Amino acid sequence: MRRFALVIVLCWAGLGFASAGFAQTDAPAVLTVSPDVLNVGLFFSGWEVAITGEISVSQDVVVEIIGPQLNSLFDVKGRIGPFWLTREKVDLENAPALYILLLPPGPLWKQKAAALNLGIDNLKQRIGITRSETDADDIFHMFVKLKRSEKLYGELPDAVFYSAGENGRRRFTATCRLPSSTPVGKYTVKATTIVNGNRVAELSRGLTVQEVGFVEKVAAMASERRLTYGVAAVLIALFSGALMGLLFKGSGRH
Amino acid sequence: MPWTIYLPIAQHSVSLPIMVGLGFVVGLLSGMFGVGGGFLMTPLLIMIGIPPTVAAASDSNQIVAASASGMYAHYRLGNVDFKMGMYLLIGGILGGTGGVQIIKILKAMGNADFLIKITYVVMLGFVGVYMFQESLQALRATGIPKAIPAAVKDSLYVRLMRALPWQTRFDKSGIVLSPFVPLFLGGLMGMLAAIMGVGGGFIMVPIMVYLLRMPMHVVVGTSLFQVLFTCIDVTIMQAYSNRTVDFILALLLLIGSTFGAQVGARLSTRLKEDQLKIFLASLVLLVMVKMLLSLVLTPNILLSYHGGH
Repeated sequence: MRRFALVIVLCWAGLGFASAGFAQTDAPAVLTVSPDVLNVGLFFSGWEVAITGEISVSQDVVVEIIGPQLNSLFDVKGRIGPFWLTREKVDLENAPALYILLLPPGPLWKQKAAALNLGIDNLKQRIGITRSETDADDIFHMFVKLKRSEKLYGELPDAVFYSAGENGRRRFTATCRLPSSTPVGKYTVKATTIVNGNRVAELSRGLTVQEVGFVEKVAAMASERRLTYGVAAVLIALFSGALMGLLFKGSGRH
Repeated sequence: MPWTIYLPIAQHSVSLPIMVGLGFVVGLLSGMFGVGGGFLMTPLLIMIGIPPTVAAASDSNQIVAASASGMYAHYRLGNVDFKMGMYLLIGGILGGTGGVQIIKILKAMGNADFLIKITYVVMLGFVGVYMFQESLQALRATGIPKAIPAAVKDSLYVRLMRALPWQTRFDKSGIVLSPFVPLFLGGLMGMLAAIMGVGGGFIMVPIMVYLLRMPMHVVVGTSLFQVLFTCIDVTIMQAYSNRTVDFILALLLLIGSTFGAQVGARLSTRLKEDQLKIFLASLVLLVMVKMLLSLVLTPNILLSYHGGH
C-alpha cells in the first residue's frame, strides 16, 4: 500500500514538473500589450497597439485581439419585386465586437491558422444565430462583410515581426491600429505559439478601452440625464444661432 | 491628430474641416430656401459613417441653430408671417404626435422604412417636377409681354378655399384664408416630420407657395419659424427616448451651418424668385433620385444594425 502511494506521489510530481517545463518552454515567456488601456478622449482617432513577447526559435506566434462579446439585432435585406426591403430580423449572440488576427511573415499563414481554428471563419462556431430563415452561413458572411467595412474585423498577414531575444529565444512584435470606432469594453489579446503547424500553447493579456474626460461626461449625461441633455443641446443650438445672427447683424451695417 | 474629433454618442471620430464644411453647405441652403436641410444632411452624414439614428437626431439639433439663425435674419428683413407660422406650428405639433403613433403601427406591420421612403420618392418627385416645370416656363416667359386675361375663372381649389369658414386675413402674406388650411397642412407636415425625421421645410416651402399662395420672400422666413420649433421638439424627444443626439456632432455642424444660413439669407435677396425655385426643384429631384436608387439598387451589404431609421 505504501509502495502504491509512493508511486502515485512520484507520478503526480513528475506530471507537475513536466507541465511546468511545457509552460516555460512552449508558451510565450513574456507577453506585453502596450498600451493596455486605451483612453477615448475628445481627440481620439484610433490607436496603435503593440503586442510583444518572447518565444523559442523553433516556434511561430499568431496573435488575436478579441473584443467584448455582444448580443445584437440585425436587419436582413431581400429583393421583393424591384425593391430591396428588410426581409427579416436576426439575432447574433456572442459575436465579438472586434476581432483582428495578426499573422507571422511567410506564405499560407492564413490557411495554417484556419487549420488550428484561428481566424474569422472560426468565429462561426462561437456565434449563435437565431430567429433567421436565411442560411446561417449566409448570415455569418454578411455579418463579417459588415464588420470588415467598419474595420472592426480583419486578418493581417505579415503583421508579426521577429528579432533576436535573450537566452537564445526570439522576440516577436505585432502591431495593429485599432479604429476610432473601436467599442468601449474589455478586450483579450491572445498569443498562440505554433510548432510545425501544431498549436503548442497560448498566453492572454487584457486590454481595456474606456471613455475619459469630456467624452465620458457627455456620454454619461446623455444616458443618465436624458431630458437635461436634450434641453441643453437645444439651448446651446439656439444660443449659437442667435449669436451668429447678432454677429452678422453687426457686419451688415458696414 | 488635431484635425479629428471623437463623437461620444456616434462613437466615431470625424474630420473637423469636413464636418464644419458640410454644415456650411447645408446652412447655405437653409438660409436661401427656408429648408432645414435635414433631407440632405442626414444622407451625407450616413455616407461618412455616422450611424443613421445618430445622424438624423443630431441633424435635428443642428437645424435648430441654422433655423434660428436663418429665421432671425429673415425676421430682421420683415419676412416672417408669425400668424401663419403659429397656425402651422399648432397643426405641426398635433400632426407630429399622430405621426409618432403612425410610425409605431408601421413598424409593427414591418417594412416601415420602405413605406416611408417610397412616400418620400413619390412626394419629392411630384413636388420637384411641378416646381421645375413651372419655374422653367416662368424663366422662358421673362421679357415676353403677357396678355391680360379678360376674365379669370376661379379654379375649384380657389372656390373650395373661399367656402371654408372663419376666413382670416394674414397681413404679412397678403392673403385671406381659413385657419383650418394652415392647421391641416401644418398637421400633415408634422406627421411627415415625425415619420421621416426631418424638419419638413423642403415640403413646406412648395406647399406655402402653391397651396397657400404666399409670396416667396415671406415663405422662406415663415417656413424657418415652423422648422425651428419642430426640430426643438424632435431634438428633445430623440435625446430623451433614443439617446441618439450627439452633442459634439451637432456643435460642429452648427458652427458651419449658422455661417452658411446667414450667407444664404443674403444670397436669397439677390437671386431672382424663379432662379431660387428652379434651384430648389433640382435639389428636390436629386434627393428623390438618390432615394429611389437606394430602394432598387442591390445594397453592398445585405445586413445592417437594427434601428437604422
